Amino acid sequence: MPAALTTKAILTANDVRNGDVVFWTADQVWSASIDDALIGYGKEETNALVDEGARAEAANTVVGAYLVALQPGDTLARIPVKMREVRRLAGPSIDFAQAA
Amino acid sequence: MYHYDHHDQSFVEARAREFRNQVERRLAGQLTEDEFKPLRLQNGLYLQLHAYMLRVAIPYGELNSQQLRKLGYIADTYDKGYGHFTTRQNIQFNWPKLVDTPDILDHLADVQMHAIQTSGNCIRNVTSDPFAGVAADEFIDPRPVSELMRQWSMLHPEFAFLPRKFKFAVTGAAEDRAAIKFHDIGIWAKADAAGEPVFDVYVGGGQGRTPRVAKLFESAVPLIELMPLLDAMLRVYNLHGRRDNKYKARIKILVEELGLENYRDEVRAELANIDRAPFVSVEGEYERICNAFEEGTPEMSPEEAIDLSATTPAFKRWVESNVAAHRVQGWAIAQISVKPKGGIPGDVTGAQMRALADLADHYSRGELRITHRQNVVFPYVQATDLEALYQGLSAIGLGEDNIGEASDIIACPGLDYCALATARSIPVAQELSTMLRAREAADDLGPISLNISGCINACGHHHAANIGILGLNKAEKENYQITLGGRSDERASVGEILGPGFAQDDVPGAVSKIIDTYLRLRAGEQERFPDTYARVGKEPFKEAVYVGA
Amino acid sequence: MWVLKDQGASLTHHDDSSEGAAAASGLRVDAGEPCLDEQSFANDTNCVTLNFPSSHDGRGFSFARRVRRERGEGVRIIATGNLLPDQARMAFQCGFSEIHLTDALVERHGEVAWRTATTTAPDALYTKSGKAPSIWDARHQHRVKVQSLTSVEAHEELQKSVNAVLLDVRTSAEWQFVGRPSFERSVGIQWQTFPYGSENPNFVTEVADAGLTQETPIFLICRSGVRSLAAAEALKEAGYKDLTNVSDGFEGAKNAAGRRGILNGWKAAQLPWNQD
Repeated sequence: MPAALTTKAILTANDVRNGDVVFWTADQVWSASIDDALIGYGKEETNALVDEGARAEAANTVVGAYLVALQPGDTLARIPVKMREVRRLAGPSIDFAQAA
Repeated sequence: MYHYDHHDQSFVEARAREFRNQVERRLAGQLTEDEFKPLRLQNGLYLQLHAYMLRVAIPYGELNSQQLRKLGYIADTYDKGYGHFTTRQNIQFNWPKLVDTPDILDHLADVQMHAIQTSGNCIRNVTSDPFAGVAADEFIDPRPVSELMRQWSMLHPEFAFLPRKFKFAVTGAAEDRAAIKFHDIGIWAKADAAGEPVFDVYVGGGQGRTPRVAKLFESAVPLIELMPLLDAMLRVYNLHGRRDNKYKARIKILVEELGLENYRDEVRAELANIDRAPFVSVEGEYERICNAFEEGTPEMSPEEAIDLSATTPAFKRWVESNVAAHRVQGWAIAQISVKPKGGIPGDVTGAQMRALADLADHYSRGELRITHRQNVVFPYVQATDLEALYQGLSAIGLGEDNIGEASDIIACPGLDYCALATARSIPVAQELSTMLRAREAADDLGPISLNISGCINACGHHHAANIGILGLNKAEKENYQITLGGRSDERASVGEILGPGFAQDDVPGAVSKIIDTYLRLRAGEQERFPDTYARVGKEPFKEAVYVGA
Repeated sequence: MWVLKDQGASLTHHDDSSEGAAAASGLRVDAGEPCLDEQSFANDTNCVTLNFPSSHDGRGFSFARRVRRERGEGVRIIATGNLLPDQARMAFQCGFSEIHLTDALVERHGEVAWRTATTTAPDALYTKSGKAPSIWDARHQHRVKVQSLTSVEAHEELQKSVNAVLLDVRTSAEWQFVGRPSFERSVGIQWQTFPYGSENPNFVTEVADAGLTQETPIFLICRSGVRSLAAAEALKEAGYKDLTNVSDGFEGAKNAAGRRGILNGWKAAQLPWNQD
C-alpha cells in the first residue's frame, strides 16, 4: 500500500468475495458509494486510513486497499486527482457489448 | 476438433476442485493475497479496475457450439450478459465474483474447457492459425502440435513460476495468420520431403514496452526433438531470465542480453544432458492427437463452385471481404466480424453466443474458431450455405462485411476495465469504426490493420499494426500516440512512432489523413499499406498529419 | 520445524536440532544467487538445501531438476523458505526429496493443507515428472495389446464363429447416414457421443448391459479403426478377453482425393451392409 498522502484522500479497495469497488466510511464499514467515503485530511488522518486498509486486508474483507488522492479544498466534494481514479469511479464509459 | 478422453476430463475436473480448495483457503485467511494471486492468475482470475475478471482458455482458438452455448450461459448467469474475445483467441468475462469462480470452472469442465494458465508467469494458452486444418495454403495442420504443447505445458511443475509470462504461437501455412514472430517462441510447422512435420523455431519476439521480432533459433526440428528442445529453452530461461525488473523479464531480453548465439549454446548444452524419459511417448501421442482431430473432422467432399452473379450486392460484398479460400473445393471459410460499425471490438452477448452456436450447428458442422483479431471463423461451410449464413448473421448484428479492413480494429479493454491501462481504447475504436465504415463504403481502402492498446503493455498489438494507436496518460489526460508500418505476418515488423500524440477527439482526423496519404501515394490498388509506408517513409505521413492541419 | 516427504505423503514434526542440523551440514544455496547450478554440480556433498526466497520465484524447480539429473537418487535435495502447499507437488515432481517448513508456515496454512497438498492437485500430469504417473505413459507405455484384423479377415472369422459379436462403436449419426455392416450378431454402442464427441462414460457398462460377457468373442469396428482400438483397449482393461479390432473400419482410410469407402474398409471390400 502506498505511503499516506498528506492532503486530502479516501480509502478504497475491492471486496474480496465479489470484487466490488468499496470505500471506507465514517461508520467504520465499507460502502459501495463514494459519497459515503470518509475523507482524511492531512498526514495523521490519511495515515490512519492506511492502517484501516491494512487491517481490512489482514481480516480478508477487502483486497488491494489504497488511498485515492482527492482534489484539495475544504469541501466535501470527492473528486480524484488522478484520471485513473475518476474512471474507476465512473465505471465503464461505454455500453456493454453490441447492440444487436 | 480434438475431444477429451477420460484422462483429459479427469485432469480438468481435478484442477477445478483444486481451485475450489484454494478459494476456500483464501477466504479462510490461510492464503494471503500475495500468495493467492499467482494461483488465481494461473486459473485465469484477475482483479481489474472495477471487479474480478475471468479469462477462459480457448486452446488454439477452437470451439464447438456446445462450448459456446455454455459460455453464453456463464455470461448470463455469472456476468452481465456478455463476454469479450481477446487477442489470444480466449474469452474473458468482466464481472465474475470470486466466490462463483469455482462453480464457473466446474461448468467449463463439463464441456471440456478450463481457464488454466490464461494468466500468470507461466506458459499461456497456445495460439494458432484460425484457419488451421482448412486453409488452402497449409503445409501441416498446426493443431495437433498445439494440442501436444497444451498438454505438455498444463501444470508443468517446473515452469509455473517463470520470470514472466510465456507465449507460444504455432502456424503451418504459407501466410502467417498467427503472428508467430511476435511471440516468446513462435513455431512454423512445415512438411519435409517425406511429408513428415518439421518445425522452424523462432525465439524472443514480443510486444510490450520493448517490441521485438523473433529470431530464427533452429530450423526443421523433427517432432521427436521439438518437445525436449522446448523444455531446454524454458529451463535456461527459468534459471537465467531476469527477475529483478518485470519489464526486463521476458525471454526477448534474456536473448538480447545474452546474445542469440550464447543463448543457443546454453540451450544446446542443456539439451545434451536432458532427461528424455518424459518424451518417449511423444510420437505415439502426436499420432493419437492427429487421429483424434481426424475423427473429429467432418467429411468434406469436393463440390461445385458457386456462382454469385445472381445474388444481392450486400451478400457479394460480404463474400468478398469475409470469405477465405478453403482447401476443399466448394467449401468456404466464413469469417464473422465482431466489429460492427461503432461497436466494441470482440464483445458478444450471451444471446449472440447462443445464436452463433445455432448457426454453427446449421452451417459449420458445430465448430468455430476465435481469431487473434477478435473475430469468429466458421471453418466448415458449404459454399451453397453461405447466403443463408450471411442472412442469419445479419439478423443477430454480426453481418458486418469488413474483415481485414481498417474498421476491423483490434482493441484491448483499456481504461474502461483494465487496472493497468493508462487510457481508454474502446471509445477510440468506436469513433474510428464509425468514421472508417463511412469511408470504406465510399472507397476501396484495401486491407489495413489498425490496432489500439490502452497502455504500453500492448495487449491491443499496436506495434504489429499498419496503423497502431497507443493510449497514454499525459498530465492526467488521455493522449494517443500513432505508430505506422507495423505488420504481424511472415514479414513481421514493428511500427514506427509518427510524432507527438493526439487528444482523443483528434484521433479520427489524424487517421483519416494517414489513409488519404496512403491512397494518394500507393503504387496502384494492389500495394498494401505497409509496403507503401516502407517505400515512401514516414515524412509524407508526418507532413499530412502535422503540417497539413 | 516440520518435514514433508515421501512425495507429500508424510508430514512430521521435528525439534529444530535434528533434521535441521543434517540439512545445515550440506550445501546451502539460495534461489536468488547467480550461477547456482555450477555450485551444486561441483560439490560432492550428498545433501543440497535450496532456499526459496519467495513463492513467486520458480528457479528452484529447474535447479532441483538439474541436481537430481546430475547427482542421481542418492542425493537429498531439501527445499526451505517460502513455499506454498500448492507448490509441494511441483517440488517433488522436480526432484526435491523433502520440504522443511517453519512452525509458522504450517500453522498459517494449516496442517491439513500441507498433508493434502499433493493429493488436492491433479495427480497425473501429461509428461513424466519425478515419480508421478504420466498421462502420456498411461496412454502409450502401459497400453494393453489388442489383436487386429482387416475387415475381410474379420468377416471371415465372424462367419466361422457361432457366438462372436460385431460391436459397432461409431456414433448414432454414422449408423443412420453412412450405414451399418450386415451381420446377425451386431451391437451398436457409441464410443464417442454425437454430436460433440465426448467419450461415452458408460461405454463398458453398456457393453455388459447388451449381454456381452468377458468370454464373448468381440470384433470392434468404427469408421477407420481408431475409435474401435481405443474402445477395445478399454474393454481389455475391464477384463474382456477375446477382442479383435477391425483395423480398416467400415469406411476405411481416405484416398488421395480425400474420399473414404474406396481404398479399404468394410464397404470398399463389398462386404454386406445396410442403411436404415
